[in-house]
Amino acid sequence: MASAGSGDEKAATVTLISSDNEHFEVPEAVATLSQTIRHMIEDGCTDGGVPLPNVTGRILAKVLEYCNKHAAASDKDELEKFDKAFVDIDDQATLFDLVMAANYLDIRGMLDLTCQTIADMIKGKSVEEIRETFNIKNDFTPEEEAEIRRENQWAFDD
Amino acid sequence: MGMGMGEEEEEDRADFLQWLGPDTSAIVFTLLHHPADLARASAVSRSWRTFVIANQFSKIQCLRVCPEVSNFTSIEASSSGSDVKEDVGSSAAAGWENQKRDHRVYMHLSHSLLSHYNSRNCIIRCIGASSTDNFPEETIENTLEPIDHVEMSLSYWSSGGQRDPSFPECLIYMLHSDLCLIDEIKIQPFQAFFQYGSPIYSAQYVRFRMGYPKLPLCPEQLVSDENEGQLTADDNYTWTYASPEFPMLQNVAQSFKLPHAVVCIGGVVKIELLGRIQKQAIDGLYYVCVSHVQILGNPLSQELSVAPRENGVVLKYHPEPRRSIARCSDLGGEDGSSPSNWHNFATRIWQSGTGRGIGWNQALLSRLLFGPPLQLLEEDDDGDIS
Repeated sequence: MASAGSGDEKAATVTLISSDNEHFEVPEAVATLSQTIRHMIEDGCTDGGVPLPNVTGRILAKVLEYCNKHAAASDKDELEKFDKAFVDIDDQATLFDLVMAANYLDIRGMLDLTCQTIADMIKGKSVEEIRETFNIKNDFTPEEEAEIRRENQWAFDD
Repeated sequence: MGMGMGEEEEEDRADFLQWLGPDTSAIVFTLLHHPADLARASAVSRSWRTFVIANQFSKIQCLRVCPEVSNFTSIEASSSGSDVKEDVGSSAAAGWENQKRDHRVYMHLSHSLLSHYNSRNCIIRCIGASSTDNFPEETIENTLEPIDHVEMSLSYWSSGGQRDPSFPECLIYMLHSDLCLIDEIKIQPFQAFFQYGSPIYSAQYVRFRMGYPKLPLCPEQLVSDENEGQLTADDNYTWTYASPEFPMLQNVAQSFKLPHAVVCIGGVVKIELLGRIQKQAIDGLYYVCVSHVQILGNPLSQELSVAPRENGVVLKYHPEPRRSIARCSDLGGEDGSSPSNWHNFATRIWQSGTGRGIGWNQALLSRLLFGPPLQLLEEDDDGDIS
């Protein structure tokens, strides 16, 4: 969005519209952490706002929290602390929604961060623990499971 | 997107593989760097196992630590000691069997590559030198003898003399196994204490190549005076790895640490000695002399071996321990059926099995490996499904 008025020093903003029709007016410098939005701004199709049908208002608010913090380019330790707190989420559904939003909006740092969080939930866990973490049903027959474990016995010391 | 838990109460745990698309799920799986994590992930459920196999994450784990693994054009696996070529019904089913096989073998390879080991000298014998001044007194075999500091041993290899100091030399060795993980090479140049000034016949630079012989090497041919230059000529070998050039210090045994641990495919290591620096006073010719060589690392699992084929080199897996391919053995006349693009199979299987396309692209793959773009999806490197 072009800034209003001549000689006006206000930074350019863009309006993002969530799937549930919440409007967020965001400085371009922040919104362009999303490559998707950056391309749209460059192509000049952001007049009247950018609809994001795949992202709810609740998730978009969190995404913008991330973008605001990272666009401010603070110090590395501070960003690390922020990131750690950002993904400290009990609710897996929110975490997954953030992954999908980061992917859709093409925000590399956030995608890496959220995917790493999920990977960390798998690392070092036994098979049973992984199933427990993600509430996954074991659909192997006992014979199939025994065969799979036998193939890589070294990985299954439980 | 519903949770589909079949429970009335809010369930805050869910199978991310069902929620996220294949691309983002793939990112999560490639962040599992430890082979054990991947092995366990493939035992969680059918959909997880299918996903791991169809996306070749075990191969990606290998490539991440050893890019040389991309040299394998295909995999052959045998069970109970014989190569099984099943006649499976449809080609899609055959493709899936091959993917399972590939997963199994790369899983074994990544476990082998990433297991802790105590570095040891992997040289089993010498193949030959580019030239030798006095054969057999100054043979390459002497480089296998460690220095005897007490006696200032005169066990060393000497190249032939040259007027041109830029004339290169090389030493070629054979390693314990078809597959060895090499992380360090030690070379001690020779100091001629018996000559005035105790000159050190070092080289300016050294570079290493690793690979396999195009034709099997027979013991009778090795380290022989007659065919020296011939035996060490590059066209006898296919090199799967070339190191950067390392400057040589001139006066000490030097340890060359490779930028990353390299898997030597085929058991042959070539040490290139570039740029001579020392003239021999008597004849005014430049020589390179080496006292001792060690190639340090870890021979990989005996269940893995390699075999050259017309179009490249194949990785073989035999669950029972077997000798690495005898250097003189028949290459074997198995002809694979025509290779097919795994990507199409994986996509078809994936779509028929769990209804999702994978959408691989070079950019995503590069990104997953956090490195320079790899040639994983180019024609000659796709895991052939034969």
